[in-house]
Amino acid sequence: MAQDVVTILGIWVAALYTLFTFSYIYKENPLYRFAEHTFVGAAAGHFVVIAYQNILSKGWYPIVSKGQYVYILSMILGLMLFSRLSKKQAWISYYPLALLVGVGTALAMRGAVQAEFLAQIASTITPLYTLNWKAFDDFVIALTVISALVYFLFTVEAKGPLKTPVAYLGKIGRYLLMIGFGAQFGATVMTRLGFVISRFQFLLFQWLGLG
Amino acid sequence: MSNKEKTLLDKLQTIDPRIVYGLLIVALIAPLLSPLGLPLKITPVVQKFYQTVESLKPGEIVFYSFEFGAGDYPEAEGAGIAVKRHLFAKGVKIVFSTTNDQAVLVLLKSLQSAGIPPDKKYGVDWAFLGYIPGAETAIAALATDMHATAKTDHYGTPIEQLPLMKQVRSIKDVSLLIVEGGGTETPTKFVRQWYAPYKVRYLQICISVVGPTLEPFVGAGQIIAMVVGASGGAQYELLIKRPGIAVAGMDAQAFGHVLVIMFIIIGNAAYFASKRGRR
Repeated sequence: MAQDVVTILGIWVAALYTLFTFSYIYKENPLYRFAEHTFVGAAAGHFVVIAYQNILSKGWYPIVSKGQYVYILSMILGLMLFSRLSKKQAWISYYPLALLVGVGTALAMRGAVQAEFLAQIASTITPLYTLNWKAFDDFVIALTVISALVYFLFTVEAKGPLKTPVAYLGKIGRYLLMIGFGAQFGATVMTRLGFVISRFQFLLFQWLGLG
Repeated sequence: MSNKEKTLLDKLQTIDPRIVYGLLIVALIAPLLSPLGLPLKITPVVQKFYQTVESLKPGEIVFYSFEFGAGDYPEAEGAGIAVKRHLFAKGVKIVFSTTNDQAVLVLLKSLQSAGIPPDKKYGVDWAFLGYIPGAETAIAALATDMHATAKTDHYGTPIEQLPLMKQVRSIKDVSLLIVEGGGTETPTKFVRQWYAPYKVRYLQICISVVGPTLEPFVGAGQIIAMVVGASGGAQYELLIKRPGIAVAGMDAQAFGHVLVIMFIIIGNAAYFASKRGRR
């Protein structure tokens, strides 16, 4: 019974917040601002709770209950980050920050070259001589990559017999980029409509009980 | 061109946004209340996703990284629910995890909506390692040693006490990786830390706006297949023969798209007509 009350209350709160947020469509108003500000507050509060739980479960408990004293070092490094709050002592925070940046960059680089560079180039280099839709797709991808790269050639000016073909290729690249932006915008519209439809489904079926 | 016509063309270019929103609301709500059942085509990429899950044998381990925050979850909600239902029906063992603090509550909601079959026991058939801070560092660490990275599950139980986690220590024990959400960044991190060094079989669920940016990974074979947005979710619901919220929203999506296209055409036609009139 208590669970039912909590569920119903949750549905009502979610429905009212949805309507408060949608009210912005008409014009900015106090209900919208209330929803916006309380959402920011709730999200910040949620993050603080999660961070506190993490410090306890992944830092504090291993030290006090399991004697894993190596985590004291992590705790000290974490505490050093707070020195940023003081202008005079901010230099102390540079050391843990340097460690974070160093580890992060090294980790990212480990896979980035293969995953985001070599593999992508390799997938662009495909046989184009067969007559099927896959070959056509591969041709369009190869043409887009090359022409878009040519469009962004700002440092070297093509001269002589290359001038006209390079200019045309750059122009093709520009148009293909435009098509890409259009496709991306279409995907954005699709996502936003998906969000709205999901909210309408909630309002109509879960809140109002229609359908 | 007369003054009256000019005014009409100008008006068409500066329609009050509230009228646009009003029409959009009607276009989206009407098909939700009276569905038309417009046909849906299953795309090869969704079919490939389905077949990859279908090829799993009972007892195989799926590592499921759920990365959706509350803000971007709704569009792919149907997709996520359908895939989880499929996985539970296949009898595979699932290890859920997240590197997004917001995703914890959203995953629990998604699991509730998917409905965990009563015969699937927590700790034996599935487990939830909870939120693991550290982003890419955590993702890399999970691949090498899950027990050292997540000492306890979401409920505070030491993971060595979970029967399922006795079988799963690192990426070597994982048959399939599924990442749900995470924008462009988190899937890229999984490609860098899980695919590049270990060549794990990797499936992705994402929202429509993210789909095109992850497409190069599919093209390069790093991600086997993706289920993208509500449309992908609707196809997956049909494939598992359990139509749900994604299928129910497809008519509304089609109506919304038609309306947006109409507004683009009207706006552009009015713009060019008024430009010609001014000449």
